[in-house]
Amino acid sequence: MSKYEVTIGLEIHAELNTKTKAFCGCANEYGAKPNTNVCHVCLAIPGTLPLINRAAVEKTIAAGLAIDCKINDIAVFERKHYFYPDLAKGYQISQLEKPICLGGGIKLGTGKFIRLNRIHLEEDAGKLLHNAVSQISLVDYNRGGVPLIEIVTEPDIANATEAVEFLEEVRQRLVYAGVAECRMEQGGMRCDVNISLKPKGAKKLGNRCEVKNLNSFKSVARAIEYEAKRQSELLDKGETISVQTRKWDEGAGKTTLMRDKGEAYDYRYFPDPDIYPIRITDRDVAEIKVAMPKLAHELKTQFVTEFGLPEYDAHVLTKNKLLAHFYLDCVTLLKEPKAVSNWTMVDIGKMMNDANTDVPPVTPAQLTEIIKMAMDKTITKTIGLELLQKVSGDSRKSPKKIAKDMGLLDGVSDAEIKKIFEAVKKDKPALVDDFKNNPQKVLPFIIGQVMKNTRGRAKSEIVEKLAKEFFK
Amino acid sequence: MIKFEELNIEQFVLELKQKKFTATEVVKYFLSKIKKDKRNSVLESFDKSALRQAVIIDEKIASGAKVGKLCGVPIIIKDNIFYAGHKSAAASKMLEDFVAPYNATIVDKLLAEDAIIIGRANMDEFAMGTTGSLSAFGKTLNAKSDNHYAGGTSSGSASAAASGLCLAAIGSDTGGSARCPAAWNGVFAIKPTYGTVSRYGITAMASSFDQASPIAKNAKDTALVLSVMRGKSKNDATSIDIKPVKFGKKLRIGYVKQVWEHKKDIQKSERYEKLFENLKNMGHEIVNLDIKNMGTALTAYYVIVPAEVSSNMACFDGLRYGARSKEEKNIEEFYKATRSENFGSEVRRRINIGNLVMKEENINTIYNGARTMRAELKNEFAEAFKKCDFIITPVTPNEASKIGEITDPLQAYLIDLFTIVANMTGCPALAIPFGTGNTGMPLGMQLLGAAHSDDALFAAEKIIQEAMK
Repeated sequence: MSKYEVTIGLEIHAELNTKTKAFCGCANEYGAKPNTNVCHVCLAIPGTLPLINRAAVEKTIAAGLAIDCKINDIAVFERKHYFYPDLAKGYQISQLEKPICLGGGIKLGTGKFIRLNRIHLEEDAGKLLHNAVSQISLVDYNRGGVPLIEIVTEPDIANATEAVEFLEEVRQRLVYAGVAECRMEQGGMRCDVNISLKPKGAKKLGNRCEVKNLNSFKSVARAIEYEAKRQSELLDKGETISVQTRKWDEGAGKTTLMRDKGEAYDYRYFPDPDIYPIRITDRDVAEIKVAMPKLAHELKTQFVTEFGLPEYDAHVLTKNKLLAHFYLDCVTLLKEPKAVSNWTMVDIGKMMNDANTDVPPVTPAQLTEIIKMAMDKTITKTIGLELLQKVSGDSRKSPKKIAKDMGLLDGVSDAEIKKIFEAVKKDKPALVDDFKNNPQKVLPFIIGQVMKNTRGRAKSEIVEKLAKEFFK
Repeated sequence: MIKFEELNIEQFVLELKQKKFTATEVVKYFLSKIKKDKRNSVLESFDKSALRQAVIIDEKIASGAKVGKLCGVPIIIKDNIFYAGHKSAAASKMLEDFVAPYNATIVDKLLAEDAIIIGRANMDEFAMGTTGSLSAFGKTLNAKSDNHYAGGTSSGSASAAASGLCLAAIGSDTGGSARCPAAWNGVFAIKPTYGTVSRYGITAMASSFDQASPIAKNAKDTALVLSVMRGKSKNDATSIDIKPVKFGKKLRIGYVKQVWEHKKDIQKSERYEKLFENLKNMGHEIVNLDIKNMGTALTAYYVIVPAEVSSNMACFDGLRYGARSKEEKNIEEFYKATRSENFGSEVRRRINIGNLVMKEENINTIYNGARTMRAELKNEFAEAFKKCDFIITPVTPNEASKIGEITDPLQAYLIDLFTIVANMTGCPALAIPFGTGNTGMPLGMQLLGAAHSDDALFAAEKIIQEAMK
C-alpha cells in the first residue's frame, strides 16, 4: 500500500434551496406527493421552453464566493444528452465550457490547499421508484428540474480523511452562505469520487475509477479506503487499472463495476439554443457578496475577537449555522458573551442533541431571560434548566412568567427557613453536634436541604447566617 | 353565395361587422370546403370548436361589442402548433393521438383578435422535409396540380391557403418550410425576424432556426396576421419585440454574385434581370454583393439543424406521452422500439446525422466548424445590410416537381439553398409569387432583409409589384 500515492478528486452535487425549480415555476420542495410539483416544462411537454431562475444563478454565484471562486462574466448553459426515465427531456440542462464559477478552493486544517476546478449550475433529474412486488418502476418528476450545483475539485486530495474534511467544510460553507441545506439523507448533497493510484513520487497519474452512489461522508471514506486497497492489490499483481465507473455498495462495503471506459457515454454537449448566455457583471457579484450571510470562519473570528470567547467555544458554536446565529442573537439581547456561550454550547446543545435536531428549541429571548435570572441569582442553574425544558418548542412562553407562577420569584421568610431546619434536625438529630464540631463540613448539606425544599428560592448567604444561629 | 376566400381580411372583417354575413355562415362554408378537398392539406377540421367560436363572435357583433383585428377570420394552423384540447401530431405516428394541453402563444394571440381556428394542416413529419410528402398521414398535393409536390414542410398550410380553405394559414419555417410551399402554391409567406414570434407551444424542430410564419394569398393579409402573432412572450426567453427598421424612398437592392452566377440553374432568371432593370429605371439602386458563405451555408445548415433535431427529439421516449412500443424486454429496447416504430425515415436520418456530428470526435471539426460558418455568414449579412436594404433571390431555384421526381434527400436539401440563409442569420424573408415556371407551376421570389425589417419588406413588395408591371 505504501508503495503508492492515492490521488482523489471529488464531484459534489448540492441542491440549491431556491423556492422554485431552475427552469420553471414549480416548487422546489422535498417530500411532496409524487408528481405534484410538475408542469409542462419540467415534464418536457413539446413546445415548452426553459426560463432560467435568477435566484438559482445568484445562489450559484454565492456558493462560488463562499469557496473563493472566480465568477465568470458570461455563463453558458448546455444540453447534456442521455436517455433515462427520470430525465424527461432526454437531456439535462447543464454547463460545460463556461460555468458560472471557476477556480477557488479550501485550505484544510493541515494547511494543505485543495483546489476547485469549477462550480456549475444544472438541473436535477427525477426519481425512479421500483416496486419489487408488482415488478414495476414508476417515475416521480418532482425533483426533475430542481437546481443543482456541481462542485468539481482538482485531484488534490490524498486520502479519506482529507476528503471528509473537505466535504464537511464545503457543506458548512454552502449552508452558511444560505444557498443549500445539504441534507444528505434527502439526497440534497451527493458525491462522486475519482480515485487513482500511482507509484510514490511518479508524476503521471494512474488510471482512475469513478465511484458513484455515495450518500454519506462515511460512505465516501469507506469507498476511498476500499478502492485504494483494491487498486493497490491489482497493481501489486502486475495488473493495470482499467478506467471504470463503479458503484458503492454500502451493505457489502465494496465497489462494483457499473461500466467500462469502452462503454463511456458520449453526452453530445452543445449550447442550449433556448437559453441565451447570461452576462454576470461585477456589480451583480458585488451585490450578491454584500447580501451574503457571514460564513462560519468569519463568525468564529468575530466570536473570538469581538466577544472574547475561547477558540473552543467559537469552534463549537459555529459548527451549526442555526446555533451560531442563535448565539449571535442572544448576545445582542444580553451582552454576556461567555455566559451565553456556556448555556448555548452546553445546555442548548444537549437539548438539540437529545432531540436529534439542528434547530435550537427555544428563542434567544427565552434563553437570555433565563440566563439573566440565573446570573442575578433569582433562580438556580437547575431551575434555569427546568425552565428551558418548560418553554422548549413554544416561542410564546415566557420563562419569567413561568417562574413567577411557580412562586420561584417570591422571597423566602426566615421563619420558613427555620421550619426546614426543624425538619432537618428532627430527621438527623446528630446534625447539631456535627455542626458544633465542624460547621463547614455540614453547612453545604443544610443549605442543600433548604434549597431543595424552597426550590432554590432561598439565598445561600442568608441560609448560612440563619443556620449558624439555629444550630449553635 | 359570397366566395369568402376571395375577400381580403380587412374587407372580410368590415363586411362581417356590417352583418353582410355571419361568422357561423363563414365557418360552415369553409368546413364544407375542407371536407370536399382532395389535397390532404387539412388533417382535421375543428368543427365543434370553430362553430362554437363563430356563435360567440356573432353574438359579440350583434351586441355591438368591440371585436378584434381578425374577427371571424378562419385560420388553419400547422399540425405542430398547439391549440388546447385539439390534436397536434406534427404529422407523426409518434404523436398521432396527442392532444395539446395548452395554447401556443401565437394561438392565444390569434384568438385574442377573434380569429377562428378551423383546422390543423398536414406537414412533413416534425417539420423535416422539403416536398410535403413526408407526413405519416399521407402527402399533401399542390393547390395548382394534383401531380405536383406542395412543397414543405408547411405543405398543408400553403396548399390550404392557396386553395381557399381558409383566409390565412400558419406554417413554421426552419429553413424555408413556409416560403418554399408558399412559392410552389403561389401564395405569400414571411419568415419573421428570429425571436419576434414566440416559439412557445410549437413542437421544436431546430430551436435556433424555427419561426412560425403566416401564409396568405396577398401581402396585406400576410402582414396583418404577422402583426397579430408577434411580440415578446414571457414563456420564451429568446423572444423579442420588433424594433421596426424602415427603408428609404430610394431602395437599395442587393444583388448577390453567388446567387446569380448560377443563372442557368434558376428558372426564369431572365425575368429577374428584367425586374432589376426596371427597378434601376425607377431610380432604385442595385448593389452588387459578394457573400462568400452563401454557397457553404447549406452544409453548415445540415450540420447544425440535425444536431438540434436530435436533441429536441430526445423527449419522445414513449414514457410520458405519445406512442409507446409494446416491447418490454428492458428500457433500452423499449426506447429503441418506440422510436424506430414511430419516427419516419427522414426524422430518423436527421437524428442520426445529429448524433454523428456531435460525437466527441466530430464535435470540434464538424459541429463547431458549422457554427463558425454560421457566425461568419451572419457577419457577412450584417455587412451586406449596411450597403443595401434587402436582397432579392428566388425562393427555390425551380417550380414544384412532379410527385415522384425527387427521390434523393440531397436533391431535396438543395431546394433550400436560398431560403436557409434567413434562418441561419435570423433575418426576415418574404416569399412573393413570381409568375410561373417552365411547366406552368408557380414560382416565388424572396426578399431577404436586415433583422427587424419585416414591415419594410412588405412596403418594398408594393414597389416590386410596380416594377413587375
